[in-house]
Amino acid sequence: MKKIKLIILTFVAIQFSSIEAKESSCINCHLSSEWVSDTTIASVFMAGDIHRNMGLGCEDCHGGDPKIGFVEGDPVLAMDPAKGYKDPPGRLGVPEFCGGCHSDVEYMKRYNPRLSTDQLKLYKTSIHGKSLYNRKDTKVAICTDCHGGHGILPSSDSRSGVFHANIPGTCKKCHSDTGYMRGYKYEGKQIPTDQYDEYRESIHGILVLEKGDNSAPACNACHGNHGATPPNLASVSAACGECHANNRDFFNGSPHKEAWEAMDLPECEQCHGNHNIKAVTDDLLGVSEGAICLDCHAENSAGYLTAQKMSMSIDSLKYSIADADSIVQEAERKGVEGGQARFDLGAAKDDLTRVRSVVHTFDHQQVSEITTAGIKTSGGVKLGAEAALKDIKIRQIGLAVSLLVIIFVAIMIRLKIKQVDSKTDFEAWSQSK
Amino acid sequence: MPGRSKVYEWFNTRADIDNILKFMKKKTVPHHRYSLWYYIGGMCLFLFIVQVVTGILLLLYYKPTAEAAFESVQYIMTEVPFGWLIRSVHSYAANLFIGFVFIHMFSVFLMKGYRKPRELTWVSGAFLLFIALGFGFSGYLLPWNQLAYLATNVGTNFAVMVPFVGEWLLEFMRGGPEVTGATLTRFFGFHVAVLPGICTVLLAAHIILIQRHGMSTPVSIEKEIETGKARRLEIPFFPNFLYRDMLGWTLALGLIILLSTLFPWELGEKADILKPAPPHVRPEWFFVFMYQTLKYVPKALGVFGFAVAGIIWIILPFMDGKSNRGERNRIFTIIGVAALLYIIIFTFIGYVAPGE
Repeated sequence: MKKIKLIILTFVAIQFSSIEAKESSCINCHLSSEWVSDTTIASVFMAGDIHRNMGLGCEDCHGGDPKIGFVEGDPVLAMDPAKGYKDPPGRLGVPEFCGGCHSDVEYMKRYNPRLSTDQLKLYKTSIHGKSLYNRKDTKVAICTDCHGGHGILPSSDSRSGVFHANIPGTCKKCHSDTGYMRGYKYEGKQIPTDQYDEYRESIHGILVLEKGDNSAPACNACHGNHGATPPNLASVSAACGECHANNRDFFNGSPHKEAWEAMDLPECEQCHGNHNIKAVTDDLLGVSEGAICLDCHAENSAGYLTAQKMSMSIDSLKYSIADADSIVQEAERKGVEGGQARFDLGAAKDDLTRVRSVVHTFDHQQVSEITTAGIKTSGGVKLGAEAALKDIKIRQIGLAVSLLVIIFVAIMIRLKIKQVDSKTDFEAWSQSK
Repeated sequence: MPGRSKVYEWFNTRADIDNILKFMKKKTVPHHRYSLWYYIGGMCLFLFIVQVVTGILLLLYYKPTAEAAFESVQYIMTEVPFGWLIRSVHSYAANLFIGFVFIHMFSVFLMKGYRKPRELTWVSGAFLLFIALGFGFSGYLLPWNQLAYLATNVGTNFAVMVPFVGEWLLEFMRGGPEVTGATLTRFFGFHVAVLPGICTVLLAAHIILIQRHGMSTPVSIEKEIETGKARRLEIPFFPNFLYRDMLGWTLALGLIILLSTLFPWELGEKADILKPAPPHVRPEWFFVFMYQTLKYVPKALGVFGFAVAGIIWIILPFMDGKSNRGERNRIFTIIGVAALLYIIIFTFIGYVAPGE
């Protein structure tokens, strides 16, 4: 009876597979609730685990000889330590267990030459790895917590816990659990558990979680993944600067750089926050209500005045662009071809984008140079559009004159028709036919 | 002859101008309650001349390559003095031209103006209609904007439905498997050389045949004259009819200038081959009835059906024995009205509820 079941299970297992699987008594038994209490391990492995898809079987990780059990009819024989079978490693042993292959450059080349092999090394430097190995704390994240154990999917698979848009949710599993995180401290302070909630509402969170933008950062972009660690003050701007490179360079050359280092302040985070970074608006700059410059700069101080001037320069450019844009729109509504004007106005808009980055120099002169150029460009567009509007008036006058001439000619022709008709002897013409 | 200049005599000796003038002086046009339709043909001719003149002016600045076509039309619209007017007049007059060609064709059809001995006039006119549609199709792409690009993609796609030579025809029209700059250059060649050449020959034949036979009087009017219910009335072509023609042309010119000034023809966005097509892409209005029909029937069957219908349309005069004998033919009248209604209704549906 058992043999029949084994044959049936083997058939099912083969059907489950999209590629030719190794003959395995492990799968046969682990898919059967008669043999094991939990069949999900085998079923998720068979359902698309990347190792299985690469042609690996249970024995490649766990050792043993699945063929023996299959042939002899007693699967337990396959799990004989004498045949190399190893017991499951337990949480403390998992990183080394995975690293056995994933740190082996030669071995990994056979399957995925592009995959790095430094995960274990990085893990040991991470806050998770240090806690695991130094304090034997098995509550910290290990490989399987993020990647899964037997149903491991590639990070490009949207079902994977390490797929870009799923990473915040994966980190959240522990880091938003107040009870789980209780007692975990960083620099003497309890690690907060509101990062995910803050991130979800940040501009990065909206892009990743709502818009599926893979270029926007998830947790690992700043903290690292296998080497996950909180960025310290010096590395915050390095993390932001990975993407916002111009802003980083402008900031590094600005007077704020030294001043903030002296005051032991974080860089980008000081104005923009960390997990809850909001979409930046021009209102952050300047001396109006809501401007962050006011947090440090007292009224009429040098910094206050610089912030005020930079804000005014940007506002002037925005107004100039909006003004030109409205006139171009009016001209277009009246039938003027506005392609070139729109192209030119695009250059002014580029200046606006650029100056929003250059404000990180906190140097009004540099800001002013760009806004002046942009205002000049948009001013030129406005003049062109105004000239086009004047041209439309001339066209309309021309049209009126032309129509008058045409109507006059039409009336004259009509009169001429009447005149020639009166002189024509239609009867005679009709008779001639 | 005394009183004539030597120059006139010189030309007269060589071109027999006297005879032409004699013919023109004697030329008459029937005058009855349907006479208004006689002016439509002249209107088509006038609009065609407008196209030739404005087309030549556009040629001075237009550049027929994917890289420069859009920019050159943009330059014409913004920089060239009165370029906006010339291009808009060319576009409006093109559409009016095709509209009037359709009106001319149906008016001739319903008045049975194709009956013996005017069969060849009808055949040349039917071919001129296809040429006009060819002008419209090829000219639409020339500004190389996104709408034209997509419409040309849709339009040329139907070429593959042609049995045996479909694939070849598609590549011949496009200058390759896709609509690219090669298609633009090719369409430009069709638009300014091939089609004008064929059109000139056909138009000359069409006009000469009309002069040979004169205007046709509808069967119903002929019957009324025969039974004494109406009298045969003719008006001289020169100058009475010509002045009436000129009145129509003047008003048409006024309308075109009015439209061109108040609503200059849009240029749109430059064609972007990589940009996805928006929903409800449709060809130009005069192809919409065919395009809409092909949504309801298998495409190959539809294309075959239109080809057969086109051929039948050309040879209709040879099938209408009754009209040729001077008898009224209600079946053909019903066919004409049905065809007209079909075109109007399917064009309307194509714009109001195009479907998928």
